Amino acid sequence: MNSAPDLMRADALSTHFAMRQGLGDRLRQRGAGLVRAVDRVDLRVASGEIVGLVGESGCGKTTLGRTILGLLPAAEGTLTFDGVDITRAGRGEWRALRRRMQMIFQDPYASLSPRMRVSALLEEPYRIHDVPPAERYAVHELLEMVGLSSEQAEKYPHELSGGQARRIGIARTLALRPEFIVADEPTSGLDVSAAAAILNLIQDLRRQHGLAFLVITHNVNTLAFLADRVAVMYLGRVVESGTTADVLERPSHPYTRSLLAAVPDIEPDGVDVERAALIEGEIPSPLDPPSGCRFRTRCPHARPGICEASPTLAEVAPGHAIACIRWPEVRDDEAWAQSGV
Amino acid sequence: MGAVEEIAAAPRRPAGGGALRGLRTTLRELLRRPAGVIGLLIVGLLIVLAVAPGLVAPYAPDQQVLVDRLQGPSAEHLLGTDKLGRDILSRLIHGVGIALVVALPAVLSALVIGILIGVTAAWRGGLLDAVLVIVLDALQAFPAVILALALLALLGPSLRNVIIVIAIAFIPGYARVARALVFSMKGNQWVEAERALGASPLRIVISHILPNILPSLFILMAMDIPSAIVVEAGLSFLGLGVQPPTPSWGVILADGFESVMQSPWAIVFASIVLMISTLGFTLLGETVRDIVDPRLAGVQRRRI
Amino acid sequence: MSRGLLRVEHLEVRYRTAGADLPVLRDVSLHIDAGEIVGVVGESGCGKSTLSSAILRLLPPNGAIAGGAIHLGDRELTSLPAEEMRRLRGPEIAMVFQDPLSSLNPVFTVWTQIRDAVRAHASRGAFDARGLRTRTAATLTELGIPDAERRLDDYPHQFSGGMRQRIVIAMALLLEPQLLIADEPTSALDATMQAQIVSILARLRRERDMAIMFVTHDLALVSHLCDRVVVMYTGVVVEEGPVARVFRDPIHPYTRALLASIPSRHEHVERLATIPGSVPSLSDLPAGCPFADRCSAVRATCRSSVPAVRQQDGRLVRCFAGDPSSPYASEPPEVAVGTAP
Repeated sequence: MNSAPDLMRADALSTHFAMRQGLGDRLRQRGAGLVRAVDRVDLRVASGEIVGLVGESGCGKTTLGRTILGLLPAAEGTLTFDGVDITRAGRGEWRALRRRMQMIFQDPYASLSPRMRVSALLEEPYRIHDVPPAERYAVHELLEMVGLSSEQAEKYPHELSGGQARRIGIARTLALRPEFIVADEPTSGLDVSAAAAILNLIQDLRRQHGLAFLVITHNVNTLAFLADRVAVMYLGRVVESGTTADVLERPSHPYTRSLLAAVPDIEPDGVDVERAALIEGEIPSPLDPPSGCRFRTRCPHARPGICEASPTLAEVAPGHAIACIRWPEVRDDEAWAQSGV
Repeated sequence: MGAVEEIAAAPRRPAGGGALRGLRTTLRELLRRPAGVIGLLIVGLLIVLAVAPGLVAPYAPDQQVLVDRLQGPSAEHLLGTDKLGRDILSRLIHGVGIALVVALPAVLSALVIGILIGVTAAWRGGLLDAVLVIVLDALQAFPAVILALALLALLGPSLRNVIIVIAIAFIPGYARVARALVFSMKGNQWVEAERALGASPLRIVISHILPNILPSLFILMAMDIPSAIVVEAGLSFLGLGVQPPTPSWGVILADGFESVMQSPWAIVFASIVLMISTLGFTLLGETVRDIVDPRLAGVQRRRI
Repeated sequence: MSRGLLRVEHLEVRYRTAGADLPVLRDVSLHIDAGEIVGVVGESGCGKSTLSSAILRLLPPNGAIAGGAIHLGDRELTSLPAEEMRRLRGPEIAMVFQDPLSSLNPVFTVWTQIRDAVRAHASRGAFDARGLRTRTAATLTELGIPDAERRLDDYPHQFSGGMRQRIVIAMALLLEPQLLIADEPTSALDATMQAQIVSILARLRRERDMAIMFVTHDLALVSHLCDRVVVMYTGVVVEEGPVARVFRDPIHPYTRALLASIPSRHEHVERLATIPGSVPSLSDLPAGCPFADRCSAVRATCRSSVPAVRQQDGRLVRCFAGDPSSPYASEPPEVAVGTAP
């Protein structure tokens, strides 16, 4: 499975949050709540590769991204970057790693310090890491890389449009010439055409600078354009992973199929939207997820007594894995074959 | 509703902006408000008097003309004379400097130490924060004057000790506000973005958090100066602060009190001056606060 | 089936802001028939939300209808007294907003709010609370809220976002309006929840012959749900027609560019098309066509005069291109300003 060398690799990585207990909970003797926001996830990103992480809110995709960048502590599992185990890296090691791993944050405005000019924001990474002037990009070079003119250098974040603020956020991550970038919903809050420009920019950066990306999104269509490989998360676990073509054109996990049916793509002939809502109900609370297969409470293929066991990711085709205990039966299900995506 | 926001599709977002431009607009806004203008005039006058009392005062503060003791207002002595025949006006004018020399360093050091404590508590959180909050609460439970009195009794009266004592009494206020501001800022995404860039906590605090919270704290400071002046005057009046013959307003009040039956003028005028200066700083501080950060309006001025 | 349940004719809306009088809607015309779902799409600032507020006469205090007419059945809404307009909202036109929380009062139970809303419109003495409660529970069940009868006594915060949106829709339905205006009703929801809400809307149209104006920025969603689409740009309608025609063969360059900038699962492209420049400010609109500065087909005429709406290929288009009677036809093309779609 490891033909290409992995730049970033997560093995059975978990992130837990302790729930704050109120006095009432203690009196009622409820146990300490532990949210397994990310639960034994395997993920790898090779050099120059764009991997998409897709799922709905609460599935743990952002938490996973932040854990990979050391912004949250990993509870279990290992995290490897460029062949080195960084799971227990100390503050000093992380400081060095920050130059190689960066993050594009979701809210373009909120991720820029409000009282700094664009030029100061762009030079800040160099000041943080004491980069000698010879190794620095000039402010106008960074602006140019993200398609902005040098006039923007003197502005404050609140004077920028959403698309511009997003580009400044990207320029800041590029300053240190990283090898790997986690992009969390890189087009959220942007209008269609501004979003397209950002997606093009990410593609260009990969092509021109060989950057590797982990793109976190709820929009599968974005990944069809960007990603080489895709992982689908549901309630803290990866339920399906494979090449973009495998996952988006031959989705196999029942959740992936429901998700794909739910995310609209342009269909001039329309679709039968009354039928398209394949799954009923809501995502269960991550505080109290179902045992075993976490999708079983909404899955049309779930069977009692079978799906209470935890499925592991298993290949259904080379490089295409899903976590479904009932896979062979699901594949041969008649209704399944009909519900085209 | 979406409609209005749609219009403002162009960048919106309050606050921030250039420090210089901010200062200019604040000043312009200040001059538009009567309270601001009055405050500015009073504070401006006080500063002039503090810097160059000799230019305005008709006499030296300690010039005694014993024959002219305890006189009422006259052409020669506009506000009268005290029991040693010193010109009350001149002593009050020279007192401005004393008042500010005590109040400014006291409040400034309270600000610096308060920020240190507040930022540390908020940033580290956990047990340290809990302990600091309890200590601050306990300190703040005492009115400033009582606390200062107790401390002065320990340290002994002197100008330096008055400054130290007032500073200590004022620290909890700044620490609490700084802690609250840092807490509200800590959760911002840009703080995490800085972490992701590799910035150390110290760096984030100094170059990002402080610039954001300082304006608010400076305003609180302006509003605390009059309190500090009053505390100093009170302590000096009680003989625990600045010692005679230095013309502190508290000392002038105390002197006047001794001879109040013969001539009330010293007390009357010293009180008026004290009141006007307090009013000036308060008006200025509150106006600037309302312009720069209306959210702070809820923050109470300290009890004296 | 009445022809043109809602008819908006040459509607003009202006907003007074500090020192400017902004023409937020200019010459906007559209119609919606009973049993029809019409999508109103455009990027932020195009005036689509203002349009829904104007139809309901719920413009902010600094906004005013400055011209044109809005007909609902045989009534003209812009000249209706405020009190009559108020009585219309609910039983005749209902509205569902993006954020269901803002339409529900947090301190009252769901039942209290529904009861009060319905009672406000009932004629004196004709109100039957018990019957309403049964009907409400039935409607909520129909909209997919489990255990509806009991949950009526819950408070809004006890429901998830998707459930709250169902409650708001149920509230709207109980008064059996002829027209439902849905302003980004699913934008705050996850994909699977959005699919469920959209499926509910489609069913309502089919079962109740309800007319729906669906305001959104999501073109893909419009292609799934709507019969016709109205594309807006800087306060004007640039193209209007059946979804199948507009999406398969857009005529207006803006519609074309917009569609080309959306990543699709079905079509793999190397680069997404982007629209050069940015949306002009309403206080500083170009003299001619508002899209001229960003248009790939711009010619001299576009810069000097505003194109009128005309019929072409079964739809309405506001563009000189394709109009043989316009001087445009004989003018040379300008040097292309951007990526041609």
